[in-house]
Parts: sequence; structure tokens; C-alpha cells
Amino acid sequence: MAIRKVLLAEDEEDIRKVAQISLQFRGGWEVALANNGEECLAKAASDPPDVILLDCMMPKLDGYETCRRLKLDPSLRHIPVIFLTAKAQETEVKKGLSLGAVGYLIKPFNPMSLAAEISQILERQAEGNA
Amino acid sequence: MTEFGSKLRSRIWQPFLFLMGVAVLASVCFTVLPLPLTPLSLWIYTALFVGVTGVVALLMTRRLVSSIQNLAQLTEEASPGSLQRASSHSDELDGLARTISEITTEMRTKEQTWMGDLEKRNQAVQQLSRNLQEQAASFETVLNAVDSPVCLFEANGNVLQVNQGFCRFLKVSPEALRSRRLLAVIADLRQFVESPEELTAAAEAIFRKPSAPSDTVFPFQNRNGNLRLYCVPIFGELSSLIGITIASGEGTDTSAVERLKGEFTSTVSHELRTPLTAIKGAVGLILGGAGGPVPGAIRDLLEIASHNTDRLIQLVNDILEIFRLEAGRLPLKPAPVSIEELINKARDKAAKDAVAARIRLETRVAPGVPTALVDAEQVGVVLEKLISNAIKFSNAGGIVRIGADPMPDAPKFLLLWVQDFGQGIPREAQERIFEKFEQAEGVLTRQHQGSGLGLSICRGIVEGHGGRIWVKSEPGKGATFYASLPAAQSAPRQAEAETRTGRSSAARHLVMVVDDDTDTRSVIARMLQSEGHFVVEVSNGSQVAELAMRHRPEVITLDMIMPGVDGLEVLRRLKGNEKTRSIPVVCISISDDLSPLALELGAAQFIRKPLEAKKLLDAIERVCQTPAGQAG
Repeated sequence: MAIRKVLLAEDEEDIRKVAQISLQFRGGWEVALANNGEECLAKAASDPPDVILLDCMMPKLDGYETCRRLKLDPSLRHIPVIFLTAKAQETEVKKGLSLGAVGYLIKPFNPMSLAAEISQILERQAEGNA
Repeated sequence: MTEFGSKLRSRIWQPFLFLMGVAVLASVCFTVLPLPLTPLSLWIYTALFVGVTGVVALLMTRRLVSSIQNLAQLTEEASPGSLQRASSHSDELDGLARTISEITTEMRTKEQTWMGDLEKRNQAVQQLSRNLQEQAASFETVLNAVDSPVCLFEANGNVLQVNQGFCRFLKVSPEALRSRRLLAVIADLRQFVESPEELTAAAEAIFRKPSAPSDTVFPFQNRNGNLRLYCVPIFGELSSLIGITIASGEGTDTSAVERLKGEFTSTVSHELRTPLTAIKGAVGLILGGAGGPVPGAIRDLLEIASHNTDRLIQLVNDILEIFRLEAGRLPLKPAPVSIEELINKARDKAAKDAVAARIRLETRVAPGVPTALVDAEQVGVVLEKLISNAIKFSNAGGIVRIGADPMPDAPKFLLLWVQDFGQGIPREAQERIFEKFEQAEGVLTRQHQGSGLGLSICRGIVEGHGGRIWVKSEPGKGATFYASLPAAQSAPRQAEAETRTGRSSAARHLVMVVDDDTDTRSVIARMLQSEGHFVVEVSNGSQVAELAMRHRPEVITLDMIMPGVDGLEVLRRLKGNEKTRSIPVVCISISDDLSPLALELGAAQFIRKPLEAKKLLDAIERVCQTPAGQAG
């Protein structure tokens, strides 16, 4: 599936900037930004993206809770969610996947291959459903 | 009694009175009436007299006797045989009277005994009730004396006992709390714990099956305590005790260690990795041309920055790893795992780096290798580091081999090894390299970047499992790193070809296979059964929902094209039913057409026919690891 628009939820401004430039530069995608979980839910609802990148640790509403709410919403459930996390322990991964995310990416990420890794995850997901 | 007596007496007198009356009447008739008094007429009058009185007397007697007969019958029923005995010695009526009096005496004695027993039992019950009340009161006192919040529930979720500590913790009055039920209380506690999802899931699991014992600790978000949820079945299914206790503050040793470990790994790792992410991101983008072409001099300097950022990232990773290993003797969770699977996984992970370094990765798992009993994640880390080292120290175009063998001299272990044909390690360094921050090369000649912690981490993990790690190497000829790891105590499996996936017993699932075609169904069933899964076959879509509720399979494979109730309808029904909604469904069909609709309806996965065993088994494994299937 072709990605046109990505919604990134990340509380760190510098990482937001870097990730946005990376995805625009290497993926050619439109990148919407959210500072936290609540903003993410609002923006996803008003202008649904093709994929949502969620930082795990955000204040107020963390990535996991945001993902849970996204999956509970029938109009947003279909959007694939990928976690961006500094923690890559298996328990965290399983937790993310059990909430309905299709994959996870570890921080620090390689800015030149971020877009490709996202595409790869989505392709694998699509293949798995074939 | 007197009334009865007088009635009875009047009945007995009746025939007598009747006879008297008739006699008087006859006398009066004869004297007053001018009746002819010939001998014949006298005979006629006498016959009349006798006949009438006889009939009447008979009727009256019968009435009397039948009442006595009834009485006799009742007596016989009440006390069989006693009437016979009584009347054998004297006449019937006497016997009857005696028997009746015996019966009534007997009944009176019995009644007294029963009353006595009942009285005693009442007293005992009252005593028991008093004891229980005393016990409950003293239990409550004890419970309230304990500061730690404690709340106990019955198997049905009702609050059994709650102490003041708990009420204070939740800021709810005891009365309000007593009227709550388990899941409501758990909902209130979600806000305190680090993983509210897991808490709710655990509580729901206990509530659904209170006969399974469980005991789980959930650390708090503020790291200042934890919540313990346990279930103790008593008499199996009949009743259970479910308890929640909260330990807060600098309570137990484990909580302090947990806190330490948790704080460091979570918060600090996040704090360290965040700025590194930003730096790597920014520098990487510039070097990649995101800001325009980069002239040579600037490029060189930025390459230095990028290079060192990566070193820093690796160092942070390694330090965190070491800390995790040492901070609390990192709890390893060993489980039966196929070593072949672990090796393949590690190989796949390293594939990219191997290609970049022009190294070929090969695996050599011996046929008789037993199942490993290890923490898969940790051993994965060991493999990762050993392979990464092997690639680092190999020459371009070389080979790195990863393998496993049984250890005939130590049947409780298996041997894991990684071999490279690179520069090798001098003898005097071969012990040293497993120390922290040691590298084989001296500082001056160091060509390869590394934190020097990798092997130390490997040793920590391997020795944590009870194994040993060592190296055999000749400079210039390469090096082979060996690690002995515990094997699961079962007969070594004979690996048949590469298709053997070595499923652990923990991963056996109950699968419901739905397909109207008998052949397809049995093919799928055999595929699953040969992997150790348990199969329930269903041939008709209309039966699925009911059978799913009864058998509670862990996953359902669903053929989409079926006559009558088709796949989509079955899916709709399953997802529309509270009880079956959470069972992941793998839809199988010839074409892709139904895929989007099926996924929208809540299918966990869609597989296209023709079926390949590997695809199906992988899908089953994948959806079983995501218990929610399709969330929501």
C-alpha cells in the first residue's frame, strides 16, 4: 500500500524535527506532528493518516494507551500503528503488539533508513494478510 | 374426649333404644288397636317384628363395626403386627385399645427425644455462630492492625473482608468498598500501576477461572510500591480466595531492587537515548544530503561526529545491559526453546550487517541437539554479540558459522558455538577478553570499535544459566566461541529436515478448524496435530459459535466459502458475541476478495489457499501471541 501521509506522535521537539525531515526527504511523505497522545488522537480523527508512529513514553497519555484508544475507535482502528521506542525488551515489544500495533522501531533510529523500515513493516503486514 | 365418648355411647345405645321403642310400640299397638289375635296373625306380627329389628340392628352394627375396622386398619399401618399380637391374648377390641395406647406412648417418647435433640442442635448452632462472629471480629481486628492495604474477595467477586488500610488507600469508606466487586475495585487500582492493561487482564483471568492458582506482582508507576493480586483455590472449583495486597514505600528487598532496576533501565535509558536519537538523526540527515550537498571538509568532520555517536549509542546499550544483568541478578526466564530457532533468528537479524561486510553466514545445527531450557531473549543477545564480533573480526569474503551440538559428556547441556576465520585471538588475551572493558587489541592498535562489554555481557548471561563460555583460537586462523547451555530434560529430538520447527510445549494451542470440505479439514488438522496442537473440527458454519463457546479454542481457522452459513457470517457472529469476540480468527480462502472485509470484521489474519503448512503454523503462532487478536 502506498503511504502518502504519516502522523508522528513524539514529545521531544528535536526528535520530531529530525523524524519529520527524514520521512519527507527519504519517503517523500506528508508528515503531520503531534506533541502527545491526546493531540495524536485528535489529529488522527480529523485527518486520518496512512500510518501512525507512536513514541512510547509521552506525558499524560503514553503511547500504549494512545494505541489502545486508536484500536477501540472503529473509524481509526484500520490505521496501522508502529511504535517508536527507546526500550526494546521483548516484554515491551509483546505489549505493543498485543495492543494491536503492527511493528516497532528502536530509538536511536537511522534517519536515512527510517522510511524504508516503516515501508518494510507495512509490506510484511500486508503479506501476512495475503 | 368426653364429647367423643358421649357420641360413642349414644351410638351403642341406639340399637337398644330402638328395640325398646319397637317393643313398646308393639305393646301399645296390641292393646290399643283392635288387631286380630289369631295364632297365625301372632306369627306374622312376630316375624315382622324380628325381621325389621334384625335388619335395622344389622345396619347399625355394621356402621359401628366398620368404624372399628378402619381404626384397626390404621393401627395396623401405624404399627404392623402389633395388633395381631395384642388381640391374640384377649378379645379384638381390647387388643385394639391396647395397641393404640402403645402406639401413642411410643410416639410421645419419640417426640420427646426429638425435641431434646433439636434443642441440643440449636444450642450447638448458636455456639458455632458465636464462634464465627468472634473469629470474624478478631480477624477483622488483625486485618485492621495491619497497615498494608488488604482486600479479600470470594470466588464470585464479592468483597469478603477489607481492612482500613485499603479503604484509606482508595479513599473510600468501608461500607462503600464492601458493596463493590472485584473488577470494580481493580478498575480503581489501574491508575496506580505501571501496566494497567496487564492488571485488568490478570483480574479478568482470575474472575473467569477462579480455580487456577495465581500470584502476580504489579509494580507501581511511581516506583514506590507494588500491588499483589493472588488467587488461592480452596476445594478446587467450589470456592476460592482472591486477594489484593498493596506494598508501598521501602517495603521489601525485591521492591527496592525492582525500583532500582526499573528506574535505571526505563527512565535513564530513555534519557540517554533521546538526545542520541536527535544527534544521530540530525547528523545522519545532513550527511545524507537532506540539507543539500555536503562539501568534503564538512563531510569529514560530520563523519567523525556520526561515527562517534554510534559508538556512544553502543556503549549506552551495553552499559544498560550490564546493569540489568548485575543489578538484581537479572531474573532469567528459562523455557523450552528450539536452539535452531534461536540461531536462525540471530542469523536473520545479522544478515544486513553480514552483507555489508561481505561475510557469508552459515548455520550448522546437529541432528541430535536437545531442546534448550533457556531465556530466549537473553540467549538471543549472546548470539547477536558473538555473531557481530565474528563479522567484525573476519576478512571480507569470509564465512561465519553458527551451530549447536549435543554434549555427550554432559547430557544436561548443549553446546552453542560461533566460528569465524578472521584474525584470531592471541593466547594471552583469551581469558581477558571476557572481562569488562577489555578488548583483544591494545589501545594503540585498535582497529575495531566496540565497547569492550559485549563478551562480558555474554559471560554474565551464559553463567547465569549455569553454563560456561570460552574460546578456542589461533592467531591468523580465526576463533570459535563456545557456550554451554542447559538442555530441557527430555529425549533429544531427531530433527527431520529444515521443516522441523521444534515447538515448545508451552506453545501448544487448541485450534478450532472450520471447513465444510472433509478433505481440507483433515489436511489442516493433520498439519496442526503434527506440530503438537490440539484440534477441534467443525464442518458447519452454523455450529461454530456454540462450539466456540463450549470449547474455548485459542484460535479458529475459518474457511470463507461454505454453504449455508458462510465464513463472513460466522465471523460476524463470533465477533458479535461477548464470549467469543476475543478468540483470534484466521480466515482461509482461495481469493483475496474477502480479505479487506474479513479484516474489517475483526479477523486476525487472512491466508490464501493453497495452504502451506509453514504459513499456517506461523500465522497460528503469530495470532496466539497477540491475545487480543483484533483489538476492541
